[in-house]
Amino acid sequence: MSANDSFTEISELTDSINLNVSLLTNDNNDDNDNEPSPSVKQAELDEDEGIEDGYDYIEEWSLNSSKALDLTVLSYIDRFEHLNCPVCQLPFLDPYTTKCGHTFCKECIKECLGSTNSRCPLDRTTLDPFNVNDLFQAPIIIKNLTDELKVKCLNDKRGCNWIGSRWEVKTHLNNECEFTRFKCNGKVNNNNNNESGNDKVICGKLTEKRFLVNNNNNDDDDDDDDECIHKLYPCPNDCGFQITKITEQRHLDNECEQNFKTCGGCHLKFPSKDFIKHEEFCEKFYIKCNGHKYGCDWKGDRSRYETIHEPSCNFLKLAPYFEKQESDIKSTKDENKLLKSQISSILDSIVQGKVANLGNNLNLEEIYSSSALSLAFSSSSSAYSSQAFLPSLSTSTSIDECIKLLNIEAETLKANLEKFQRAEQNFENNLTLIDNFINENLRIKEELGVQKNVINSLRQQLQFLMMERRRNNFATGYGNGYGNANTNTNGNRSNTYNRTSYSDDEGNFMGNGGFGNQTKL
Amino acid sequence: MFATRRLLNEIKALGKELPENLHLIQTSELNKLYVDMKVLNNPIYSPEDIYRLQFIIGDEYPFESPQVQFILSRDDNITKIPIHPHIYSNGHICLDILGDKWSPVQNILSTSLSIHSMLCNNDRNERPPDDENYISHAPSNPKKSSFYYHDDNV
Repeated sequence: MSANDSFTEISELTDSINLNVSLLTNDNNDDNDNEPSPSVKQAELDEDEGIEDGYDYIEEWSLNSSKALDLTVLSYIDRFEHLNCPVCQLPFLDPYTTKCGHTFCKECIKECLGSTNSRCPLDRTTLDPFNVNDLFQAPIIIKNLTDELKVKCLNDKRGCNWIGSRWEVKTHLNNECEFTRFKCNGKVNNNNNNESGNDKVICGKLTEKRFLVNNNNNDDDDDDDDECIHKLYPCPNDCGFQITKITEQRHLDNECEQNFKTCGGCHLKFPSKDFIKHEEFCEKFYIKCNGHKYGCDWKGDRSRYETIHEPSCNFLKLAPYFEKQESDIKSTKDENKLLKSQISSILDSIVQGKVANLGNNLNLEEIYSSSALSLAFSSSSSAYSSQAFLPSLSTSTSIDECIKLLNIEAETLKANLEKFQRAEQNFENNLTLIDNFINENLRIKEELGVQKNVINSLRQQLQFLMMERRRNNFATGYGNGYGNANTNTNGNRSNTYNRTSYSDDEGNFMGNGGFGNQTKL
Repeated sequence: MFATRRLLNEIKALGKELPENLHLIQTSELNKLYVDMKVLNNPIYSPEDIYRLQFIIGDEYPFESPQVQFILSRDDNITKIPIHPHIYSNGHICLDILGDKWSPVQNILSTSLSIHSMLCNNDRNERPPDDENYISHAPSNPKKSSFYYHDDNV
């Protein structure tokens, strides 16, 4: 148990370090510098041939295609979550789409469908990888979008700063990049096979293009002139090191003890490898004023700078103010950007026919007017943004101009906001109108109800009258047979008729008598 | 190579988007990760308890599921195995997305979140019904045991 304890303790302690080991293997390559130089004093030749982690040019027809251009190792500058393959979580390479509408890299989806039962990794729809209706090439626009993404050069670990679209990478690596390794085609003495007549062979070592350029450019293939750049020769300063053309510059700058350089300030000689360190401390060394980025062009040695110039420099006094201005401008720019994006999203949602917050559809007229407005706005805003963008590129433009542009932009934004507010007010007015209509509607409904009741009561009365009349007819018909015409023509609702009928045939019409009583109530 | 690249990619992203209750710990091995989690809104679990989820990522990742289980840390006694009807007392988790329902689009974050939400929504303070039987002869790699999914309701 105690052994286990100590183990975990150690592992926990080294957690952070160890991760970095794996993450930063490339940096470790630089650490190789610290290794003691071999017994023969020879500049670190292996290191100079370039870090392994990069791109080596291999002829297309070469059988060894293991190091062919592998786009999956590219590092991207800008990434959009939606253009990433859900499996490898990198931007799509050769995208394929499934019948359920999901898109993956070709390699990724092939791997997924091959390994387990063939279902879409995202929603488990059954897929047949060999059916072109189930799995097919994604729309070309996706390929175009991902090919446009900005990437770093594969040789960025070796020092290439190139950044470009993904589709350009291959051309860059093969034709332009100074850090791509090619095979050295210099001739070297063949030590092993002196008997075979030809004592020169092609070197063949992989070497970064920037070292090869001098050699490859002289196209005349005269064997003896083509000396290999890997050939060792002693350092011209007699320091005892063996160097090649590749390592020469580095050796002189960083290693050679005999390569002296004179300091411009104190006029003392130092080996060039210590020169930078000396510059930091030399009292006499000429330095620029700290305010030079604000326009101070004072230059002088360090001792005078500290004692004389620094307290008196006006630019330095203004420096905090400038810095504040700069940060203000930056924050305003950021805010502006945010507002712009918000407005454009609002406009988008309006053009599409719905305001996101309300979810109500707008009338057609409103859509047309707002889309016209948005068109006008977007054109004007793009005009402004291009105006604002251009000066920001050139550092020399004055701050005032930037502020003016920002102000103009803010004005347009304000105007737009006002337009929206007006539209909102209209909308509110309409709402109150609708409310009024609703109230009126309710009132009318109530009235209608009253009318209905009246009609109903009238109908009941009418029914009662009809009944009465029928009964009267009946009674008179069975009774004495006269007065029929009389009752009909009279149409009076008097009880006298009832009574007469009762008195005439009381025994026969008891039921009617009951009814008569009810109605009398 | 593919696995390593994606793993590095994920770890980079995890640094930014991990929620508050989850905490990533890296070990000396690249393919072994811990995620410490706390469950705050469930009375079954004490808010102070830390549950340590161990991920061992194989070479076939993400096409094969990683090996995921709860573990006890060996140097302190803070971490515990959470009580849950699908979590055995040796830390093995009975969860279909860790087995045959694994999909390559899942990642460390989504898996951690699934398990965390499984704990958050738990309302039964008990171990699986066959707990004792299982842990007596469970393989060390939870992926090797074929789980029988008791009930899908919890």
